[in-house]
Amino acid sequence: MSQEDQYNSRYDRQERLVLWDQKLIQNSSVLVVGIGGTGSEVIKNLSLLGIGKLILVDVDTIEYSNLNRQMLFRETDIGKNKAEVAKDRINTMFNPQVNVETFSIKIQDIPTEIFEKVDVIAGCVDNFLARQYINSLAIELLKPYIDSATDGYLGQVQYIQKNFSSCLACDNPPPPDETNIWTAPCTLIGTPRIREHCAWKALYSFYTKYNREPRENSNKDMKSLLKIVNNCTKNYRFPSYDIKELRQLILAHIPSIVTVNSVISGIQSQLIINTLLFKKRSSLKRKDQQILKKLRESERFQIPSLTIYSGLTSTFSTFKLLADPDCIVCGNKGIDSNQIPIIQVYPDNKFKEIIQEVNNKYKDEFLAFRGNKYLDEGDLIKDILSNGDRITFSPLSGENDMRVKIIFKKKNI
Amino acid sequence: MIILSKKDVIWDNSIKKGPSDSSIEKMVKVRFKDPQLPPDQNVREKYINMNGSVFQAIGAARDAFNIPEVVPIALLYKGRRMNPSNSLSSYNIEENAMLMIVPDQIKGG
Repeated sequence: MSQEDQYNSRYDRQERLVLWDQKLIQNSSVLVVGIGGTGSEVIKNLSLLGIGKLILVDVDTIEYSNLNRQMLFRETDIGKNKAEVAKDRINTMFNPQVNVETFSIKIQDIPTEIFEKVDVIAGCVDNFLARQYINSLAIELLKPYIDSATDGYLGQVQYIQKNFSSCLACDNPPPPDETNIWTAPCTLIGTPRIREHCAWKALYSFYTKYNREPRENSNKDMKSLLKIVNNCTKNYRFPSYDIKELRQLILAHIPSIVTVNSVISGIQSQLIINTLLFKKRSSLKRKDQQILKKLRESERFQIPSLTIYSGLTSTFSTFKLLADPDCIVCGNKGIDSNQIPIIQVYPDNKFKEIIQEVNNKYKDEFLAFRGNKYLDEGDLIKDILSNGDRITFSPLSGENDMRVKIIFKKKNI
Repeated sequence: MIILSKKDVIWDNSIKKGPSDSSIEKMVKVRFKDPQLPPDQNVREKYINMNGSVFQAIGAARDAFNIPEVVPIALLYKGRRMNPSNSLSSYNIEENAMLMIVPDQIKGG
């Protein structure tokens, strides 16, 4: 069998689907951040589907506690970097044709160009800070960002795309602290009122002494921490801790089960595919473009902003989330950037003037949005915008949105 | 808008301080929906105090469905996530409005 026959045969069953275009999938790239419970399933799914390029990001190493659900990893991989091992497994076990690039550094250290060159960003991380970082970058670069999260029997997938849905910062209070060290200073300094306070005090003492948090897999660290904790429990007449209990309490790992991870990563992978099909719909065959149009009109093709799954009730619920126009990330008070184009206007003029300027400058016709609110060209600029607002222009003919900052000319302020 | 007793709402301590606009209870009937339950059981009515906070409304939602405190939940109203520290009055909630219950603080990966 020739290489071409092998290729055609591998994807034969999915190519029988309506709307499917294997070339479109093959020419697409996805950045997956976090190769853990959901991330490893997502990259397995995407590679089986024949995605062209995967960029994997994970700074963590493989631990025994990962092996209950992260099917890419084996006992012999303990201590190795997740992204590196995942790259090897994807190419040897699932699909040698996928081009895999890896970064075993923190997400914040990844060059922006890496985010710019992918079609979709998939977030499979385990903390709010990384999510907020990816969220900000995805909004600024106008990239679709599909985030997943699990907690025990619950899981959710959120779709973030400027002008289409809310972002992770919309209407949300600041993310909860990632560590308990800083949450209750009075507890750390004062008299422990409950047994758990001894654990927080000990963690704080450890941090102060070594300038780092204790390592979960280091017996030396855990014993040292246990000694501090139990001195405290003894002094204040609380029952003492053992290492297992202390590890569970302080490291606060989130409960995780492979079944929920599989469901959530399945939803996330399908959303990635739907996003690629929708984003690159102009590359679909004419017949498929018409089918997609009809499916959208009858709401049989949807990209929900939030999907929630409960393993305990076997229920799925989907929600449309609206953007907060004043969101500090995607809204009016958006991220400061020097790279964003600036348009200077008189606030007493009609918004049409801005539209015309953008149309002339970029040789296309655009619709304008603030948050996900459509801006009418007949309105006065001062009625719908403030000085310094960031608005988004969507071209009628193309697919690449752009953001523009509006500055009011001083004469009319 | 209906003014009722403080039944079904968490007591607002500010009421003790004497009359002011924000200390008067403005009880409004809303519907909480918990999509995790079967469709014929997932909507329950409750009166909430419009002069209270979203946090208090979350308490009322817990009450309506007996959701234990250990399960973090949030409320959605018209597609917007409600911030627990905001006052309910800032959302212009109407009589019979539907408030969706969703799990909160899911962060594992």
